[in-house]
Amino acid sequence: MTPTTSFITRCRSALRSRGDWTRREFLRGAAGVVALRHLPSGVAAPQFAYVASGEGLLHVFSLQGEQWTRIQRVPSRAPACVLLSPAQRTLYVANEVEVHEGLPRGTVEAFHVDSQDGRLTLLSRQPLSLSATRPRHMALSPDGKLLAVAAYGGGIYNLFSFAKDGSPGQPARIFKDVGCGPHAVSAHPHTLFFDAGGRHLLSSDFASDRLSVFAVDEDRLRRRMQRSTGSGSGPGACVLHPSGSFFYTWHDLESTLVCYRYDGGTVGETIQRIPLQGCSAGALAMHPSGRALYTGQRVWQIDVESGRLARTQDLLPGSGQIAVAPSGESVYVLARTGGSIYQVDADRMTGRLHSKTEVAAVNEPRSIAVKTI
Amino acid sequence: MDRLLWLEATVGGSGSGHSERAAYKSSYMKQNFTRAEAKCIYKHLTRTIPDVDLRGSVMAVDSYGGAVNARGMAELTSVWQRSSIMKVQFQQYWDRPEEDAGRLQWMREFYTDLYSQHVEPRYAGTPYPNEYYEGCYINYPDSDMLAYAFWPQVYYGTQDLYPFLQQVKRRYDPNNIFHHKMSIRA
Repeated sequence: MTPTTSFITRCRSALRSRGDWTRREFLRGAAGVVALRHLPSGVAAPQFAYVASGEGLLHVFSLQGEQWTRIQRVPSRAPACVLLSPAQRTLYVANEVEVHEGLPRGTVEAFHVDSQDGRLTLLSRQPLSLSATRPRHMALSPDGKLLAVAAYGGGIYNLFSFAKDGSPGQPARIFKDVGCGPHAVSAHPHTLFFDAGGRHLLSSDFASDRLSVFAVDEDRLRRRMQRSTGSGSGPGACVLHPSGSFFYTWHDLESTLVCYRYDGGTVGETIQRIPLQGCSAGALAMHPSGRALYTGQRVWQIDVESGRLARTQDLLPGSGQIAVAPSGESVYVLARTGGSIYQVDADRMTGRLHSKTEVAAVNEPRSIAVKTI
Repeated sequence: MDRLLWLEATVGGSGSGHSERAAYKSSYMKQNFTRAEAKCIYKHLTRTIPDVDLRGSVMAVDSYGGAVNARGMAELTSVWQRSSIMKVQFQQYWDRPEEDAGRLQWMREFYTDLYSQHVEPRYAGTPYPNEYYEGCYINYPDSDMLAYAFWPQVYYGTQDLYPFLQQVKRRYDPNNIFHHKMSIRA
């Protein structure tokens, strides 16, 4: 029995035994089903981890539970973000560089991932479009056919398709953004991702205090809508709820966690604002159950009906990047200082965290991807 | 009224005559050609390369000096080269893409050889500003020069012009809307 059918069975059972369920309670349960639908069943255990390090290296670890063994160090220019293809045969790396071959542009590296031993072999190093400097974040479309790159320095989005070997080709669609808030002088795309249908690309722009939704057209990237986050707010990390209905964003300059409604390509009303003075979230990560959101220092329980958050646990002081295993059973936290990598056991159904273990350490860890197949 | 794409209008209506493909290099010279430079120029202008058609290759010398070098002009304009007596233009015109590699190779080797004679070894291959040269002319942008980290100094000098232009860029085009390979990098 899958977790989802198990949950539905429990709901039915509860309805049969408790004739006094209110409509609200029933809807909350039904919304839970919507969120849990996205929880993968039968996901294999993590086998290898790929960690980008600010010292210009990719560290490859072999994983056996909490035993992490470093098996490879691979040179990479200023790796800022790592991402595995859906088939987990290719690892993409955003190189946060200002200049490549004398021109102002960053690059994306593609590495072949050996399916047996997890080791990396460089396939290609593809330049971004002119003026697309310092790429920091990437996203793959749900079908794995497009790679979107946010060039923080140049204020440019690049969209790539792939060759047969998984290497990105020339940037096929380019969007140059402009504008800035009082704290900057030019646009700085921070985080981006596709929505579940893959037809829209969502992004936050730290400098222009703006969330954008781009339509991924056949031949171009077109801004469909934009929403101001407030002057001087500095939106950074963001993530979409698995139901596709809620868009969580960390406003870095005002230290506020915000939940927006999202509906089919439109960022709508503000559902909740949570000021966290003196707190630097750094990263956001969503548990695949849709029931927990992880910020830099805290764990939030998500009301899957309303999208509202309630603080439940502390995570780690000074957390940097956070990633969640596809199975939902582990959360990986890269410490902002000290370089420690923690593996935290998570409840597969709720995302609630249990014991944590320091499994490895690298200098300046910046991003992590975990291979499960 | 006829409407043309900007590139078509620029390339087709430039007044330079029909040519699908072209390459330019340049240098400002503060002294007459030295014997070593003259020998180098002769060597490359009489050179033949198997299967490479070098017709359409030009080395043009423009006279400078006079009022161009009037004191104070460097402060009034964005052209800082005010001590030269010649500007040298290296030009190539051709039509067929398959000729690109051979023609560009000849041009690069000629230029690199010529401007490795009287510069410090670390600036070899460029007319880096010194007692012989005053760099290159930015209106003949040559992306080969991007191989040198000091290319802004070759085009804009070693004084405060490039930092000033960077300030202007940051102020009026902070989003870098107007950019090309050799535009001012803020």
